[in-house]
Amino acid sequence: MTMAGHDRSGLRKVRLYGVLLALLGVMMLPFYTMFSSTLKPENEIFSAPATLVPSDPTVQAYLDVWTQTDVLLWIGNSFVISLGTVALTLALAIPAAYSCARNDFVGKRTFLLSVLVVQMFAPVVLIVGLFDVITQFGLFNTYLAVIIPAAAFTLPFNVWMLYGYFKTIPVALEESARIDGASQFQILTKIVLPLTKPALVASITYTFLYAWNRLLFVLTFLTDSAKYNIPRGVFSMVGALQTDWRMMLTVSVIGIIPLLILFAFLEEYIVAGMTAGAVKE
Amino acid sequence: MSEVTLSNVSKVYDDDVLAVNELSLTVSDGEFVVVVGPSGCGKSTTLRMIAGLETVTAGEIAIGDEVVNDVRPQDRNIAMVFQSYALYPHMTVRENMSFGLRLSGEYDEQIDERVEEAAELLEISDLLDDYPKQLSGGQQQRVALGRAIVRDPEVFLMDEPLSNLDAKLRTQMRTEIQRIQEELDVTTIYVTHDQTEAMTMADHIVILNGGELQQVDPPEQCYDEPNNKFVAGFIGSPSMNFFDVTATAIDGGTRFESPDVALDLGVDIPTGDYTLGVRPEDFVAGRAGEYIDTVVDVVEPMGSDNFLYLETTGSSMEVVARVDSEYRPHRGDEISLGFDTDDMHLFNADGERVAVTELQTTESV
Repeated sequence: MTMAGHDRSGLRKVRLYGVLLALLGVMMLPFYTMFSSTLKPENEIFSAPATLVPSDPTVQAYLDVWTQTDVLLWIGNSFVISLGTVALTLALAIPAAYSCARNDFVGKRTFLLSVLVVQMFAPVVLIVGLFDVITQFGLFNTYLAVIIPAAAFTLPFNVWMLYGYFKTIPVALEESARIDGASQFQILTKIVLPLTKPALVASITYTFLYAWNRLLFVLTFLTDSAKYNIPRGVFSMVGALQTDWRMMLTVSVIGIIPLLILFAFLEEYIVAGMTAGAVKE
Repeated sequence: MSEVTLSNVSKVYDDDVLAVNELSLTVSDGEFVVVVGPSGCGKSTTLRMIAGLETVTAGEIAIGDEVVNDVRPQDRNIAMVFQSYALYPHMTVRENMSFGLRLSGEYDEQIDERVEEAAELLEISDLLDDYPKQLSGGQQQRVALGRAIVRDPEVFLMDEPLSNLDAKLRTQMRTEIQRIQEELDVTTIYVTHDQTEAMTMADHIVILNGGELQQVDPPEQCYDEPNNKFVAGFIGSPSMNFFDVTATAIDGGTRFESPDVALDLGVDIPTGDYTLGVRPEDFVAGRAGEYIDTVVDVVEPMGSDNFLYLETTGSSMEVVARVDSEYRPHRGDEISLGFDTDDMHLFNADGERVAVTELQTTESV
């Protein structure tokens, strides 16, 4: 390549990075504003013109949240709801996806398509019907009232993703295990699932995030404040006359931290899971 | 060790495809049998039925004295080596080899002992803690064999185990598998589409075509006395040359005639259409006054000998001859091909062998 060629490709790279940085800035600005506002004194949050950097940084908001709200309880409830949703979703999605990937049966295509159709309904459309079902089954004000609908809405995506991943696992491995003496359950647990790790991690992350951020179901099916999750806790700070924005933003920041930690640990698997089956290996 | 018996075994798939048709076969205790045939001939299906990975539509499969049609694969006491090796990618070599033993509840010490014994036999002792992706194709192949060996099965089933290896490694593993099989003396059924593997490894070759059994015989017999035209063409490389000839009665014998060849033999067989077969290596080239006139198209030097691709002057048919490496004609040269009539093969209109060896040659034209 000539020097002029080097210059041109270098310039192109600079431009590309410039555009990417600008896009990153646009995406990160709300998060930055949220975070920086938690470090500002209360009167500075709505000051005009808005300040990007807190003039007099303080962690008072964090101390206030710690002493004046049930943030730990909300985080705990968010974990219960999210882990419960993950467990229920996987318990249903794994067998459904695996049986579809490995067996041909009448109506398989229709089944898979109808699973997808469920995903097309917005939860709010079904909320009245769901409320009826939840109360009929005596689940109102229990964690299950949120876990079951959340699992129902995450199942289609999970069934399809795991179905696609299971299909990439060579049948010969399972046949080999069968000849080695493994039962169908042992084949699933000792051979198939360990090989499905990237897809499982992606599935767990997606479901966990979905359940962590659920507000509508908690708002509708949980009136007991001891069972509030993080979004519901934040929502409870919206008052009829006054809203404490500083506290709301601080709880929101705290609510994101567990997700960031989770994502940092699982990032490698998540990317592998998302791109699984995209190219022939 | 056990005898494997197939009695009128058929396999019809859901879409009405007949994969195997009334196959009957006995593989004796400790025997090495190679099932060979072109793609789609039913050889892998047959092996998978013996393994229990496919159901049997009709007929019976027995291992030893037990009919195993309804016995689960894990209860048949067999071990199988797959074409893709099917090693568990998330397990080390040691874990791969011990997986079956662990499932059957063997003691740890016993498992370790057997794994190490098999690893030593296959010279993979230093790979026991590696993962399959760290191994070369040849090493993976050895692990797949090791996994089968440690289970000490009654029957080894091998589904084209060498087809993913390069030519040199394939030759090496071929002798290795033979050595191991002889050492362990386990009944082995080996599927391949490679007739060289069949010829070099088998005690008996089973040749299938279109789901039908064509011949079961020792390799040399399949080569020297093929049951039919298909076997004659399939066994041997390059393939046997075929000439469609018409047999007419002449005084004192029969004349076989085609645009390319004319041959008078002192035999009495029904007149009609036949196929005359000559193997490339049975041709004698370059002598004057032989039976078939040809023109050289391509010369392929193979080192030890030369393959001549020729066109007959009678009907422009392609003929292949395998000749001495020192005989090297040029493209366009005219060559007469001859053959000893003892080496020719004759097939009737249905493609079935007509025993030429019993005939007495009176005259060559």
